[in-house]
Amino acid sequence: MISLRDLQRDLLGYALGDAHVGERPWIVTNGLSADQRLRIYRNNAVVGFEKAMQSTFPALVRLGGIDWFNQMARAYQRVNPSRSGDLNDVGGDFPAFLEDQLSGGEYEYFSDVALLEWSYQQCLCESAVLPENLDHLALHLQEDLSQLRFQVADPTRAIESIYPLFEIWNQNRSDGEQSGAIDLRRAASRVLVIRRIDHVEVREVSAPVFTLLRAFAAGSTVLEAAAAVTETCRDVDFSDALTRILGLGVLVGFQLTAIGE
Amino acid sequence: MTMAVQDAMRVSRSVPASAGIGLRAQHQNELLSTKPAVGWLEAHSENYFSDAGPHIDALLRLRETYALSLHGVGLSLGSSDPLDRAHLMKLKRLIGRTSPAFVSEHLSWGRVDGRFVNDLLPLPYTQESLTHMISRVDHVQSALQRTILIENISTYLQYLHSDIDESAFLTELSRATGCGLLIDINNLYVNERNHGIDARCFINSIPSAAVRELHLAGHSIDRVDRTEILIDTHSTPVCEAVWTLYGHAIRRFGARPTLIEWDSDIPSLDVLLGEAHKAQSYLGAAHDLAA
Repeated sequence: MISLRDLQRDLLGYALGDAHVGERPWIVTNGLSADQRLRIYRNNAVVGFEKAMQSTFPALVRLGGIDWFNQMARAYQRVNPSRSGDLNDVGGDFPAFLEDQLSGGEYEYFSDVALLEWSYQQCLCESAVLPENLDHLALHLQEDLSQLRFQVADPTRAIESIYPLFEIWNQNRSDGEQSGAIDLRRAASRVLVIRRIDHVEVREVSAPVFTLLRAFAAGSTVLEAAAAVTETCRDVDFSDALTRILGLGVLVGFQLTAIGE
Repeated sequence: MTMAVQDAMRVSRSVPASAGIGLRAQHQNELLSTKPAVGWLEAHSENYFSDAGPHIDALLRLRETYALSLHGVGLSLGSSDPLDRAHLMKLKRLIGRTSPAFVSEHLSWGRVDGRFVNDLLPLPYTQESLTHMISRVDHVQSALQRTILIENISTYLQYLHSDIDESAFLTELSRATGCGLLIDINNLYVNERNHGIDARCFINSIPSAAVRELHLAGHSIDRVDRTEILIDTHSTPVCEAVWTLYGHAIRRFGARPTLIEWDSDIPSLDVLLGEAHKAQSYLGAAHDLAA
């Protein structure tokens, strides 16, 4: 008699599309072959996975069409089967998978859209972190900026794309009318996904603001972040960029110590 | 185990022996704004594991109005892999946040070597599986510090080496662990049509005291070659044959909290409430009979 472990390995392998050919005398046929019965489970596994992916990546479904999307979802499932009892967890590696598949082609921007959609879903499921009242910050700005570090709210995601990502996502995120063709060569896009108390906000920001925020998130001091911005963005107005970041409400605190103190 | 059973008896009173509906995202706002008269709500546990977001927010608000049951689909109790402790802890946290009257899972598995199919696959009904399930249910009830309900599933295959009746398997699982049973009437009907099991005989052989909840749902009918096979899609109204079987079940078990499940091609809330209203009329007749 086949053990429970061996039976489960065989059936799950079949359902996930592994190359499992062979007799399965331990399955009652009763009008249908073991293969035909197992194909029902394989179909359920695929359809359930596709539906979960569709609900996480609605803009990609619109962009590529449902047939293309399902084909990609099935290919993704074969190399990245679900590792969780919660189907909401299955899309995390999809952006990287699409990047591998589409890199250098006319649809390579799809992987950036996937990253934005996955970030949105993740942010949606996280608690908002309320920004600290930074009114008293002015006092410290007179002090040594090499000691001042900002803390960025954890749920915030920052995505950089060489394509007009925000516009692409914004035009395809719902079933509404698209406002027109998008020139993919138009401009690079830097997008923040921010968890607000009652919603998730997606907004485009300037290169200096984006660079500054990334530097803060990486633990840089204000001085180090300013150097990073000056290096990457010409003619930047640093104080303007800092003011804009403060207005975003994504800085949830600051400290005046060197790392390790 | 005795304490866990007492706990379940205490909280189960908060779900009335009336008809409830499965909570689906499409209906959340309408439920919150109109608060229709329905006995209780059942939520899929995994959809509410997150810290925050519109779904868990809505569930917590609905919990103020309606009694709640949590129904899991991802614990893979019957898997020969180790139990997913992270999943179990998420469930425990959700239970702490929502105080459900019932927490239920399935007599099934869906994971091996860390890979999931996220479906409910059948176990062979053998002593090996029974011993395994008893150990798993004991473990989960101990971790959650409460009894859980275990649901019979619909299946598209049977194993030649199964040597225990499904009803005897569930009865012994309940006796050994103190877990309650959630009997899905549509699943019984699907299995009757797919495998020729006797659904009434199943119902007649389950001890009434173990049955805490009933499920009703729709199915679809597929053809493979010339053979008709019923698929448990939860995408259609409850069919007449299932209503008839439900009538038999509540005559046998007495009135029990009964859920209308509808998970695909989800209709308007009115349609779902209409199905619940129909179930309520069956329950009313059972109450009258008992009186």
